[in-house]
Amino acid sequence: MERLKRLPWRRLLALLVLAAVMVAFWAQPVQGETRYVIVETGSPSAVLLDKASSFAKGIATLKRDQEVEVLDEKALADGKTYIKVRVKDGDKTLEGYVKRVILGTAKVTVDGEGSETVGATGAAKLSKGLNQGIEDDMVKQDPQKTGKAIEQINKLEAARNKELGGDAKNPDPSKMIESYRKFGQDGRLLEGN
Amino acid sequence: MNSTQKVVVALAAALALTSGCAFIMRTVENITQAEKDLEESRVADDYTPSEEYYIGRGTSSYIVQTFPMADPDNTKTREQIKYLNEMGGYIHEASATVPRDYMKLGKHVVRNEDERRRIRDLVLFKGVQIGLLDTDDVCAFGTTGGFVWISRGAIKMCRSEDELAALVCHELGHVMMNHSMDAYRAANKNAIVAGAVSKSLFPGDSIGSKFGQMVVGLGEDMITKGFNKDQEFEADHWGTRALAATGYDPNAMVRLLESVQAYEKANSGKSQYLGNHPKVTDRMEKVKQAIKDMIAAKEMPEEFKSMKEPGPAARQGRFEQTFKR
Repeated sequence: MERLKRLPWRRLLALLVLAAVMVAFWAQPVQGETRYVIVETGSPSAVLLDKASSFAKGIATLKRDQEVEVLDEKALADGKTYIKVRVKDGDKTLEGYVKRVILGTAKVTVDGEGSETVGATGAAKLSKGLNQGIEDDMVKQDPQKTGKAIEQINKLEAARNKELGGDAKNPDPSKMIESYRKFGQDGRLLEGN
Repeated sequence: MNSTQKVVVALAAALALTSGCAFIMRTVENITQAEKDLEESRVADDYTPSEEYYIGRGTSSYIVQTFPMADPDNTKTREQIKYLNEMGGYIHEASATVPRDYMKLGKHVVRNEDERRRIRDLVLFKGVQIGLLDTDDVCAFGTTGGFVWISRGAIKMCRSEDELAALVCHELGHVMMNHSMDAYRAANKNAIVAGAVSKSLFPGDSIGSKFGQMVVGLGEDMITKGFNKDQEFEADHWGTRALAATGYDPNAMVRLLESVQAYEKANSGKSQYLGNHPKVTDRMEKVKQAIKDMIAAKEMPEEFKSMKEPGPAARQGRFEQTFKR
């Protein structure tokens, strides 16, 4: 009992508190986690923004499956969640914001049959698998009607891309966002007109 | 206790322990398998944005076969397509704050957590794309993957940009609440036999044929049957709130429905599309209630509480210039 009484209880308590603080610190969400862009290159959402808001300025175009490093997650007062990220753009490293929903935990893998099977196994894998290759196969079965209809849809997409994003095949998402913002301002729907 | 009794007791205890362990192991295995099945079922229901985009293209291919698409090579049509896509993109971006993952909405919508998560995390692979259908019939379709189709007849029915925005908001509501995918998931899971048209177009057994049967069947259903009444009410509800969030007059949804009512009276039974929707009077009543709720919750912009006009001259001017002769 005497030995127990002689122990430096206050020091031990301080050490325990310090240990608890360190454990709590290490248990925080990991910064620097890697995520992947799940929307198409050229989508209006595939853009690194300078601010965490809908009509912010685009500072870099993101590519599908591009790696991004998560720096911070910020839930805005408007309810929309953006994540602060770091991306590599050629030799440069840029920081900015992206919509949370455009990031996935894995790259989209395409298996031998051309199916997209993110995380799918067994029956789930069989039920998935929709991509350009499968659409091409569908068109082969009915080139006259479905084939021509798909051509029309491609034409619409090219027209939208060209008019809003400056290029029929590789639209610039920053230009698209700018055209949306201008539409809002010209119609007195957004402030800043 | 003698030595034999001790052995018997020990054996019985060991047996009981082993049986118990085996029972526990089997139970654990069963639970693990059940969890795996549940996870697999979730994965089967979760489609990537690109998968939804291709489903939307397939569904749209049937819509374009039924109603001719206005040609973007025509200068005036191109201007109209640009206007529609700027409007759709603007509304999509500016309406991000409007809730859409309701667990329950009135008596109409009941969702589980997985369904709510899917709607909350929904993202469009290439953004919103609005196509113009070259027909005087009044119809509009919002399908998977960001595709919206609006007929010239439907645009002609709108008297202002705000009414056209109400139509776009309603269709975007179907897109953003993934209504079209509800039918696709059900068809995929239950392997429902594809419709007559899709089967005749894709009689084969290849993956492309099966995909064709599914997506064209979906387009066929969308035109012939439409969405169910709950989904229509939900699209009206989201659309009305989206109008307020994007700076348009939410009362425009009521005015649009008045135009639909007038069209129905004048053209009874002429539009398949309108025949599939709930009664306009029921829809108007629910939209008016949604507006009252927004006013009560102070979510309604002050300027729209008594607004009856088409909207500012800037909006009306560009609408007239783009669509009216």
